[in-house]
Amino acid sequence: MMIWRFRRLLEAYGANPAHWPPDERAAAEALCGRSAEARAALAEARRLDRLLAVDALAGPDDALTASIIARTTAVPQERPAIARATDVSGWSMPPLWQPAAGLLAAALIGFVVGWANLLPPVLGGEETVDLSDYVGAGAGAGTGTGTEEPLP
Amino acid sequence: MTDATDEDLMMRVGSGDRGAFGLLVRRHLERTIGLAQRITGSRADAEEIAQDAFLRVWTKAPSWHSADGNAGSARFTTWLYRVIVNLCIDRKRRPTHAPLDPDYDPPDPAGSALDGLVKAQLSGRVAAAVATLPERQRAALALCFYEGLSNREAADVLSLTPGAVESLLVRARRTLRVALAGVAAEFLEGVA
Repeated sequence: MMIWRFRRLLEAYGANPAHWPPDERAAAEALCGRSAEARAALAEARRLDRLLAVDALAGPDDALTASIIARTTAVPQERPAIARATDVSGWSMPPLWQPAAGLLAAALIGFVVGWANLLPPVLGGEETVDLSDYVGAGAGAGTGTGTEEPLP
Repeated sequence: MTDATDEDLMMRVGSGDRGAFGLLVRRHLERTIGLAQRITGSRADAEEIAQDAFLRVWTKAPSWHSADGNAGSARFTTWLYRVIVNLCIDRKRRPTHAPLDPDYDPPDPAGSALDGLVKAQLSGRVAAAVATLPERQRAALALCFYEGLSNREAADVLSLTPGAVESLLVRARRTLRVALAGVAAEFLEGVA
């Protein structure tokens, strides 16, 4: 390891080798063993570490802990409505096939109805459709315009 | 149950097990508040963030699944840290910048070579210097220096590359070294 990289490690992670990136730790420690310059830089970084470590924080008291537990568990949990698949992150994801299948079915029905022109042109009107026309003509094939003569 | 992994506890919490949830809170509350306080600079905000974070743990637990059998607690803590950092950043985006809690009285750990007053003053000055850092630098410092996460773990929490985390840390420590240059002399005299 070059000294510039060692200095950079110290600047980023401080003097504690446990905080250095594992794949560089051995090389950094080896450099420290053979370089007085590296050891001086280590001592300098250690001074800042000791200063920063002075900033100790108080732990939570029992009352706060109990309050968080009591207030949180009073809230209902979000339970999945149906069995769900999991993704790699560990949280369940809603299955996508159900809405996709619904959309596909609706699209197919719409296409078939539209292609065969099975619906009368005016719902509730007096026109009627003789399905035997379509049976004979191969399901309409574009001839069903909805303008056939009404049955007598 | 006390030696159960975090993920085991999460599975129990998902079934509505309040005892398992209590254990999870006791296990992680101190570091949750510590991380949030170092990022927000406010003890009061940190406690609210801890409440929000554990509310998410409780409500989302039924959807928690162990992706693999030996994931252990690392994945849970990474997720929890990410929730905390995001809650802190969301809070900091509110209109007013929360100053360092004026009522915050740093503790005096036993066994110190410094007397309590000097140590409290030093601690306050260090905390004030840390509070001036941009929030991402503060988060990186809190995760790596104070919580002991590796740069890769911190990168995962912050959704950054390890190199970006390293850059944040370098800038943070350079700023602090300058800001605390005068304090360092006092401190070293105190411990000499």
